[in-house]
Amino acid sequence: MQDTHRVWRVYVSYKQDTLDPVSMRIQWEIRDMDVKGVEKVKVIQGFRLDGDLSEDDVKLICEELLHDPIIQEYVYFLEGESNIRLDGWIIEVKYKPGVFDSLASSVLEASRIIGIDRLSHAETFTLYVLNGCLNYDKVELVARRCLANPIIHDYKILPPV
Amino acid sequence: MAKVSVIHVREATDEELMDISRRYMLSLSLDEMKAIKAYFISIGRDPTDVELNTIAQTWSEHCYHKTFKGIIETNDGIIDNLLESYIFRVTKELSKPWCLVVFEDNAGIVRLEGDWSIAVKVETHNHPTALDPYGGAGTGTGGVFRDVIGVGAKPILSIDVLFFGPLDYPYELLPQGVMHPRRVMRGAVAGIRDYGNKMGVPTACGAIGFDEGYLCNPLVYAGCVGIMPFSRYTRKPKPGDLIVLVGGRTGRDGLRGVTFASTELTPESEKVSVISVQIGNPIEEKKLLDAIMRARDEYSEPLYSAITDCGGGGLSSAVGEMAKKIGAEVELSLVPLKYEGLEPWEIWLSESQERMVLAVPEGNIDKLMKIFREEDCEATVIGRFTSTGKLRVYYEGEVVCDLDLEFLFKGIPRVRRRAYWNPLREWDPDFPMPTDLMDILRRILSDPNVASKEWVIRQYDHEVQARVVIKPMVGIHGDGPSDACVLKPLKDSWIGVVVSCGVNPKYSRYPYKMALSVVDEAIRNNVAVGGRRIALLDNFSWGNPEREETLGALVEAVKGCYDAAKAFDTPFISGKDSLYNEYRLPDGSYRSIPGTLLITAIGIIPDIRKAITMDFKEPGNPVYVVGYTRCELGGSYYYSIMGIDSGVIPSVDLNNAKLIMDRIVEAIDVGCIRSCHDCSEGGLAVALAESSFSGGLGVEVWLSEVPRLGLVRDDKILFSESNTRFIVEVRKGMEDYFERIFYNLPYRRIGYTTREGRLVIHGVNGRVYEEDIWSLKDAWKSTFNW
Repeated sequence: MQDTHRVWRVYVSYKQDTLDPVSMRIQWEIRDMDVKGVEKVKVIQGFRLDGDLSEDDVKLICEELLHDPIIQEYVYFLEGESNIRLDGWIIEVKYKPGVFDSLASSVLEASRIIGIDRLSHAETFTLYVLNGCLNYDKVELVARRCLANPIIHDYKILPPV
Repeated sequence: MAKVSVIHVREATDEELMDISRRYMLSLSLDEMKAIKAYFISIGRDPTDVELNTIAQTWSEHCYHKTFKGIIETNDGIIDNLLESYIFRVTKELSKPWCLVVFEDNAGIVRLEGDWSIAVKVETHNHPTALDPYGGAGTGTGGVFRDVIGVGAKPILSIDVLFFGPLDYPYELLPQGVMHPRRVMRGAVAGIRDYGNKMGVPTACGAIGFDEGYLCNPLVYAGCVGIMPFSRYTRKPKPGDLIVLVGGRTGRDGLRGVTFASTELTPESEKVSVISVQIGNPIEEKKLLDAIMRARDEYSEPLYSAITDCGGGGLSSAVGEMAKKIGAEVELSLVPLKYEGLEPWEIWLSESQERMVLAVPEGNIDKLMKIFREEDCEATVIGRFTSTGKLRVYYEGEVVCDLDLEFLFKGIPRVRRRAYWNPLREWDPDFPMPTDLMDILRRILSDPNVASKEWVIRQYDHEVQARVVIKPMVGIHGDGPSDACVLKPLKDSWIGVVVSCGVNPKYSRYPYKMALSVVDEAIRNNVAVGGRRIALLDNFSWGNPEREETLGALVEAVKGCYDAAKAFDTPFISGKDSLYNEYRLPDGSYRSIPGTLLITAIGIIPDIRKAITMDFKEPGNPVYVVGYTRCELGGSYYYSIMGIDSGVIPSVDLNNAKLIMDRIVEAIDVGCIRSCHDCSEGGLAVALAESSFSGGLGVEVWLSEVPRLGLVRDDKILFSESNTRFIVEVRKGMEDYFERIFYNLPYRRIGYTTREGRLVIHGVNGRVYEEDIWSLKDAWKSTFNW
């Protein structure tokens, strides 16, 4: 039986009680770039995996390639079927089409090496989950001033649910 | 059918020609378009878009250096080719047997020991960094590594010199489309870090400066030193050799980066340039390097007859350059692509990173392919060198480009430009001396230009490959500012390579003296650790040369380079210029960078165990100043703090400077020097403070003893930035040796090192200035406490 075309999304982040230097760094940079009101930042590395992948395939890719089991954790889900709640404002930053995504190309190549050749396309993106005294304008300022470069990135802002 | 369009230039009017130049983003002038028109009339057809783009890339300022090679009218007469007349000329006149390859390949090559030689190249990557700091600076580093790999050498050192706008620039005042300097700096540093660290090349030499002039046009100079056995150097592609494209796949990235680099930035650049931005992949380049090193070494001769980097201009430039004297045929549909849908001209011009081109004799191709397969690096035969004198490009069997190489490389009309320079009249202003000179010293130390760059340096891996002997940070706590970097490149020899740089845009209002000063600075940094037999690289980043004063300043700087290099007996071996570093604001006004000349000095030291660092070593040692301190405070940090914009820019005493440098080296060799630090930004005061807190020792000195000309005030003695000066800590008991070496030259013993951590300075009139060295160090380190 052939599966229909499905796209998986994977979120990789530092474990709850682990030191998260990436998020700390971004939080510091936002402050340093003179944007006030951001009290907490959590950075999530996202992947979009496209191809005829089974859940086991995705799990294997996550286990073997996408996360560091000591300090990081991951979740995966089918695009459009998420019940994951991220608390706060979310800025999603990804490369514009046509900009070379070297991380994604490594994922593609490495998947083949571990024996998964059904992964046909991969993309990466970054989610920044922001908390604090924020509104849309302020979050957009953060996106433009610190996180996304309009020349190579597209970004999308999602208010808290 | 090939997706090629034919452009009708033969019947085009002048206006239509310029319209074509604009529409196809060729950045060509009317004269150049006319030359193209005449050529195609002579061969009886119109050009394809592939051909027009090939010509535009080859004739771009970036590839051809048409300003430097053009005809320049000045008030003192005509200069026919600035490069030949000054930079190449000094190298020719000095004619050093150890200069193996100069100005004719991707990198300059000098002999090290036996067959071992050193390849060096410094590039600029300014425009891409302005648009995407991370990708731009990273690919600048990756690109210059490939320049060095492109002569067959293995990169052993990454050099990075960066200039940004002021870090405290108000956000409200940023021009539209310009990123804040803090963000540009963090992005650029991260880009350089990720490329060098991931590829396993130490980044251990460089500088960072700030000036409002760089707000819209940050500068990134990326340099690389490589090592190779010179017997493996080959650069003679033969007709019949296969053209092999190796490394990464080809996509749309970086299209027209070269013609883009030869234009000014505008707010619009942000919109049109998505295709100009390149993203690097250091892992790909590491595989490429490993495969090429095997192809170079595994058999009795290299498997390739020539090799070059696929950089600016992409395949068009790489294949064109190699085929220059013979001819070549390429089939574009063989080029492996990242994705489908590229048009032929896009494949031909793409500046996708991590690609190189090899010329491979047919008999070697199987061996070569095997190596590349084993290293998991793609290699594809895309064509063949010929003896037709033509550059012929096919797409799916159909000819899309058929140009005479003679026309391509010699057909460009000489650029004729006017240069004008109004010599600056200088005077030293009179003003009351401030009382708290130690407070001024603290402020200079915490100026971002002078302050510790530890935050940056620590991100770079400067240990990988285990060759770096004198690291960027020295002293008892491993955080003092080293004058130069010393490498030990060979396992079984003590010989070392010494790398240093000199750059000072604060002197740019007097470009001739700026050139003398930065050559002197690069050399004295090198000499301060024990470097000698020095070769130089020049990198000019300038504004729009079509303006007379901007070009006039450039001519002055080039003349300074010649005079200084001649006097110091140091040939130029490679260089690169980046012009049009300007930003046009929506209201039509310009922002130009200050003319910025970077000089990189490559010296050697026969025995790295004799290399010297700048930190004071023991208490009770005599401290000497070598070289005259003059009333030269124009462009100094002192005057900039005092809000004074006049003053005399430091010059160089070309008759004595070389002698002083030679004697320092001699004194290091006999072992009478314990520490040596050059005096530059912030003068004597900053140098003394740095040597003190780096060594954890105090120093007590008497300004009345400082060898000086025409100076009586404590502040001016302390903060003058005169060139060719060193602070030398001499081994106790060896004062006589030292003084004999410097017989007849300006030197004086000014004091001694002390155990107590205090900087004590006795003024000429008996005033005493005193400061705790740790408080000075705090001031120096707190600026980049990021």
